[in-house]
Amino acid sequence: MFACENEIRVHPGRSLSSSQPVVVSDFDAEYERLQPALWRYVHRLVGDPDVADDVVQEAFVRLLGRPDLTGDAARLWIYTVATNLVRDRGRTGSRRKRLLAARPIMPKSPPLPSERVERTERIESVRRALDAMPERDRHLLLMREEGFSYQEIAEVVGVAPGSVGTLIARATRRFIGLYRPIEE
Amino acid sequence: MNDHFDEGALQALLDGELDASMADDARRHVAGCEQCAERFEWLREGSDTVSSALRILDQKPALEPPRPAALVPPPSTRGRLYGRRGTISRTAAIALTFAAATAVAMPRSPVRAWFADRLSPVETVSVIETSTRDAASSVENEPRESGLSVDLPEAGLRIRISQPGADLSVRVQLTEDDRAWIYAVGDLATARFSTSASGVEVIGASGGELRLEIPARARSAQVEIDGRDMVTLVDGELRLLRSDEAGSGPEIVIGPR
Repeated sequence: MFACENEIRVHPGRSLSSSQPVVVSDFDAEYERLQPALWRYVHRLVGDPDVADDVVQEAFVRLLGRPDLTGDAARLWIYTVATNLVRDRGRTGSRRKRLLAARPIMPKSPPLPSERVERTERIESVRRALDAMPERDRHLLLMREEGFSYQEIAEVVGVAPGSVGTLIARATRRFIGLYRPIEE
Repeated sequence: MNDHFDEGALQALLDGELDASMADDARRHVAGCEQCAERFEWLREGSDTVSSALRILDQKPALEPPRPAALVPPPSTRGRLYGRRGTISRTAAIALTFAAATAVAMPRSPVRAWFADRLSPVETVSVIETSTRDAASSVENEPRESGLSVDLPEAGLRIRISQPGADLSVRVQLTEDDRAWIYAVGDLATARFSTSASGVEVIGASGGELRLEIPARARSAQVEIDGRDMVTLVDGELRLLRSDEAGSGPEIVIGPR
């Protein structure tokens, strides 16, 4: 009754009730399986949907060159690639941040309904806390949130598997110390 | 008790990363050690806070980022070319509107059928109770005629299964949010949890209580208990299926988280 991972997949928007399901290629299936969560992970890391689009697209382009990878191996591999791409962008981004700090652009925002303001403030409060954390802590918390095992997290982050629990606990403590939730 | 578990071990216990025997030891210790229980509870609450905070980042952007002034062409550059494009666009729009109106007016035209499909009033049934016997088909099939339709509560959905039998089998499948929460309460040492990217399976629970939680963000979900579909969530519509064999299986309570 439950579709297993490698069962026939259909293109989104097509109904199974109409004739036969449409079988898509393995890569399409991998893309459909991995893309939403990978995009969420990268978006949480960088906080910019355009950057998340670019990083995820680049990661999948690279996955095309690794047809030998499937299933969990492909998942871990593409998260590693995406994490490294974000790291690389972070280095460029930090230079840009310094330039912006020197010559800030202050566009005028239109007045906002209070609900939108609150939502934006809530997002910003989380963003501020994450941005203030060391990069490794961000990766630890976000990968744990994506359901990766300690072994997998250790591989991507570059730490000993036995230390992941301690590092996650510390990262959690650090996040709690920085995060100022906005009451709804 | 002197052999306290360090924070890393407690975190690993929380994340299900300890092997079975060590997890048993840790659980027993935490149950009898006030200090470790307190630290474990703090870590659990901390993890919940992190999870909730990260989910805030997934909300749709509330603000359209303002366009930098430099990217907007100054009025002087919006001369004839833009005016001419506007004229072409208007002409194209009028021609398309006319073509669409003609297509809709023609009997048996596919365009007319398309509009009819989308514009016909959708019937929504708030509550229909039924048996699970009709619910053999999978989620992908047409919506069932039976079930109990409710809105997915803001905080997500909790399904509690009390005193599950030894042969209890629970499977949860989610899409668009590949994480479900399953809590085991009481004596559930015999339960096995099998997780994959497409779902979570609980096999062989006995005694105690199982709690499954479907996050509010999930757009599609399916919960199967003892081989029967109990909950389906399709395109945001939640359907609860009730057994007409009350008393023959574990007590199942479904409600908000």
